[in-house]
Amino acid sequence: MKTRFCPPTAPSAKGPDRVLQRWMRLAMLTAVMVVPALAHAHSETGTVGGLISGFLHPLTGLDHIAAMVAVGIWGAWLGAPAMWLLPVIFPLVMALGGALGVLGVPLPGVETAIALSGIVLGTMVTFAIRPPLWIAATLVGFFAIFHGYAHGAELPSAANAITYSVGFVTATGLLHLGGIAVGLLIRWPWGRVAVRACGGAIAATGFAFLFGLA
Amino acid sequence: MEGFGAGLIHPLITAHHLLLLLALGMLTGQGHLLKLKVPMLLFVPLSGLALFLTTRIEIPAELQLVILCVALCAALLLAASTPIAGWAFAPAFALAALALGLDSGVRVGAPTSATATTLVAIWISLNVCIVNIAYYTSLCPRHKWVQIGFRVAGSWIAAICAMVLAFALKTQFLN
Repeated sequence: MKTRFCPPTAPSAKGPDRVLQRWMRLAMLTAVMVVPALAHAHSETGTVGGLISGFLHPLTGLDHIAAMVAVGIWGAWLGAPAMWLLPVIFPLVMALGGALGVLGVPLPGVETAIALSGIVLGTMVTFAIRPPLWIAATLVGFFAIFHGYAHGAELPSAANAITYSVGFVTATGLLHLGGIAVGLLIRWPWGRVAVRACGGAIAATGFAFLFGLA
Repeated sequence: MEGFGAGLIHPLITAHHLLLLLALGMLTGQGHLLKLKVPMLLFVPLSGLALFLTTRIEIPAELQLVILCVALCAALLLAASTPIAGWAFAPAFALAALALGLDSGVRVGAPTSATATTLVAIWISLNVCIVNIAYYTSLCPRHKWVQIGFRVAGSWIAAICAMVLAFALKTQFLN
């Protein structure tokens, strides 16, 4: 009796595997798109330079990264509607701060406030503090002004203002989304521990910047 | 940049034009029913008229600020997810058409035929862009996360416009 050799069929990519493949493709594509920027082939001038400069500005400051991610994590921890309300409010208030920075309006204690934002938001996440929505929004809005001020004050004079703004608003938004993605891990018990540990790391980063250790 | 192809891509590569088209288009598409008839009856002729006027009159550079202001208002409304009365879109589209058209003039001294070709292409592109953005926005499912995405997009556009307006204010009036 002849038997046909049937090679084992590869498991068809369904459900989570397919989603994971999609995310890996997106991550690789993003990495490829970022590589030319890493070559620093363009100065801060002009359209492209402004876009790159603006996009990299939030990413080159650990204090900025920590606070932006903390906003996303805290939003996810607070749940709806904070989870989407904070990423909507933050860019708007940040732009207000950015406008103040561009116009050169004196604002004291910018770097201190940025460091404090990491401490406060990180502490909120670490201890799973869930204040009323208006308190959370006010707190986030307060710190957003200082973060935006720093971005606006450091806008390169030769850079294209629109593309610089597109770059840093996009980078900030992506950091928020990354924070929300991390925050969604709280649906698992180990995820809650991991998220609170992230909050601790963010708070520690804030302390380091506040006392000049970083 | 001249030629039919250049005219077609002009609104897409001009950042402040694209911001206005996106903000206004998405805001229009968010309505319960897509009502484009009256707004487009204003947008189509006014954008054409504005483009024609660029060959006849001197266009001030501050027109970019008008475009950003309209984009900022539209984006704020989009971020707030505020219901907009249907009649309110008509003046917004009229103002957008005039501003976009007047800001899209080709360089002075260009050959007449090349100028006309470019302007016609820009006119087509402006109208096609805003209709498509509004139409495809209206096709998006009314799922909660999709609506949140539009609100986030609105806040991003508003933030960008606010920053650029502040920079323009600094360079034009404070320096």
